[in-house]
Amino acid sequence: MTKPTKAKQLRLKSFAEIESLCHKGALPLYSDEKLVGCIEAGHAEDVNLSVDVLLENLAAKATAAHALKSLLSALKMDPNDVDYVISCSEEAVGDRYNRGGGNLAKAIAEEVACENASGSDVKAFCAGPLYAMVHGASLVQSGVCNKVAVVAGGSLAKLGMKFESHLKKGMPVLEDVLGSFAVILSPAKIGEPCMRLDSAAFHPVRAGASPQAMAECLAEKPLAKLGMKLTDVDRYAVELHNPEITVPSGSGDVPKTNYLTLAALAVIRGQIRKDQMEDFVRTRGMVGYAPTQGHIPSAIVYLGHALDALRNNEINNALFISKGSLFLGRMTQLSDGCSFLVEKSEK
Amino acid sequence: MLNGKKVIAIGERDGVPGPVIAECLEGAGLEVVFQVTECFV
Repeated sequence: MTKPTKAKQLRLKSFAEIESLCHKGALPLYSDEKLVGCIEAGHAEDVNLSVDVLLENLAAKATAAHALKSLLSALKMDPNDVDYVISCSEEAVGDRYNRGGGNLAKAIAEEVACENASGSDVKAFCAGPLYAMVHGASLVQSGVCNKVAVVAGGSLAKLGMKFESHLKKGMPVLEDVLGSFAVILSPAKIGEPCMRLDSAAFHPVRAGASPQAMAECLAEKPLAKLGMKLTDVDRYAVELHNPEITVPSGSGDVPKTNYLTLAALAVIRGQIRKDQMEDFVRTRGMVGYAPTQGHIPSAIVYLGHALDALRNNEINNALFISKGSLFLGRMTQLSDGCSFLVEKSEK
Repeated sequence: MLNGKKVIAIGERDGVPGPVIAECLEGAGLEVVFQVTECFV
């Protein structure tokens, strides 16, 4: 690890100074009821640098850096060996002249002391992580990079997203987790899990937004390219939102809906009978368990478990499918999605 | 009975999207004054 520069060393202020800053408009930060710090706006007039926006961006940066540091430590990997960092966090870093200009990736690389790395961001709403994985794997496969880190920090904006519904039903605020992840992509090794880049699929503009169209584009067609059927996949990772959070808030059991759509498509194609749909869902799906952090539950949350299951020979492959709600930005009415297959490398 | 009625169609990404609802309703003779798709997760 390199020594932190003077600019990166902790700058502690006294409580009197913090209180004074809060009186001048800084946002106080508490641990329980104790004032522990504050955050100041980056500019007096620019709303893109207001305290709440900066706190959101800082939360994404800090949690992504934490995930990457933890991963490098677990792998006993030198941060200097990372060539490139791709961030697919859900934030918009920038000022009024370049709202969402981004490259949080490089800020994360700096924080984690990946001194030899550059980086860039991949944005695609909740589908961002799978797009980022495809981009990262392509950089490795093409020889442009040897080791690529794909990272995402947590979404502060989504904490307590549906808290009103929960409180109305006498439930605690369950959306209290900032989710983050980090993945290191490197050249495939025989016998180790690998991404099948030849399975990567995207949801094209012409495809239409119905769940069946999504399932055809992101599951059926890419599998057909590999000579596989829907029933040849041992495990599907879809939108893995925890139903304990989403059902009480009226959003339904999202993973189950996605699995039933895949099962229904398998019925239409004659791969299973209608009375086998529940079996399809039970054996090839899973109960949602991820916090509603948007990009985190969107399939990528299962990657670590998939690697374990592949290494333990519990499954032969897993298809990752993510969706993005592009329409929320009001620039299109389109949805989006991305998918790829993970299996043990044979070459 | 529905012909000429004005409707607002709100769809859901993991269910039936807004444009699909709108197309069905317009086919049934309703006037869709606004349609949108939302994501509830």
